[in-house]
Amino acid sequence: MNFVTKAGLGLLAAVLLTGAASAAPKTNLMSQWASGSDGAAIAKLGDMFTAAGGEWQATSIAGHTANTLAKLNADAMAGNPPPAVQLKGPEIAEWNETGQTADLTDIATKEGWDKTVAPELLPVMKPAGKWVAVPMNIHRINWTWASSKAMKQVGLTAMPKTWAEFNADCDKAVAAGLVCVAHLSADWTDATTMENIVYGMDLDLDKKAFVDGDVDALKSPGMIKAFDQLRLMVNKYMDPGIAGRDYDTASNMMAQGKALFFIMGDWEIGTLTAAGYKYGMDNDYICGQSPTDWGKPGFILNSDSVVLFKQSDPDYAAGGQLLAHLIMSPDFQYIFTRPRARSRRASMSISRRASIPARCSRRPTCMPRSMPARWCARWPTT
Amino acid sequence: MTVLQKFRGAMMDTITQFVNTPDMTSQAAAQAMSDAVAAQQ
Repeated sequence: MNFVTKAGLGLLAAVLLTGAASAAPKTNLMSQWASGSDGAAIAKLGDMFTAAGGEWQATSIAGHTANTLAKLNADAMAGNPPPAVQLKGPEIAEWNETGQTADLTDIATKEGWDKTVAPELLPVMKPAGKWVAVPMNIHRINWTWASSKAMKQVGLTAMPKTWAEFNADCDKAVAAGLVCVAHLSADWTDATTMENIVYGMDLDLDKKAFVDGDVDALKSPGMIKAFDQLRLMVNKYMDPGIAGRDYDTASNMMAQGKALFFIMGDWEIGTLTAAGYKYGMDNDYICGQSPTDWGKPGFILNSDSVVLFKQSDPDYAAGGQLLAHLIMSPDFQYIFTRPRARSRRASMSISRRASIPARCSRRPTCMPRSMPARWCARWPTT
Repeated sequence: MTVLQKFRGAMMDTITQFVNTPDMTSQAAAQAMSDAVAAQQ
């Protein structure tokens, strides 16, 4: 069954669920996915929505999540919340408390979302028991990527398992005249690196600090130790040319062997694949879980998701149901998360996305062999 | 960082300040991050 057929069924379902003979389901998805592969992925969602008989609009808010929230706040205060908005984690619960979110429970029950969505996401998508959001994927943040060429140059055969091993490997890289850690100029990458460090050093601290926002944890001795590690990396293991460096340049530094490591989330495999790099010690790069000092596999989880808001216009209400159905369809989850969609579906050009479908039906790409086959097993997550 | 954006933004600002300020100590960074989040509560 191709996605158009499924989408058509979704349209029928949406109309039935809203109990209204919608002239044409409509939606307007507000997101940060404005350009490049992100924009292409959303355009494909728009194609699916249109193929199902809907009228599609997308509003792109470039930059930080804060920009999206500012726009959402303004629209909601004006009594005109957008039909659909890209939001994450606790923001979903906060907006649910305003009473402005749509209830997706009927379609969720009909389509069995509770059984197909990763259990870690359920309390996020249904913060007060009813479905108000749909997940598009699951990202794993704590990956470290390594240049096969650089590893051979400094005599390494495996990824570092602890931060002490990481530092020892870096010392070898620096002694060999290499940059150890490729890094770029963006605040979110600084935060990603820091979160990898804290998570790898102290799982409990990571949860208290970066999930609970505990102000004591944020200034604790463990956090100071983590900043020490970051300072070591900035001063000794990164190079002085970070300012102004973009993502692709940093990624290429690693892949081409100018730098040993690149600490980055799972989306990096899409960038590498799009640039023609190949996995393997005999090829361009390998990857593994970022170091942990507590000796177990771990997973810093991040999920892109869309919150649906109540709409007084029945066409937009029906459109919300259709959009939720399409986002949760295996076809879209596959499209949105596959790093080389171009090679499997000729009409697509989504090359840089590489995450895990939020549904539990597919394995992630570049998963280390030590991890369980069912990626949605309950590992330590934050 | 699975916290509200206002807290995440405060954390990110401090971490980036630390990266870009060579003489900022780890103790100062941790205290600043805690204070920045507290100010948003």
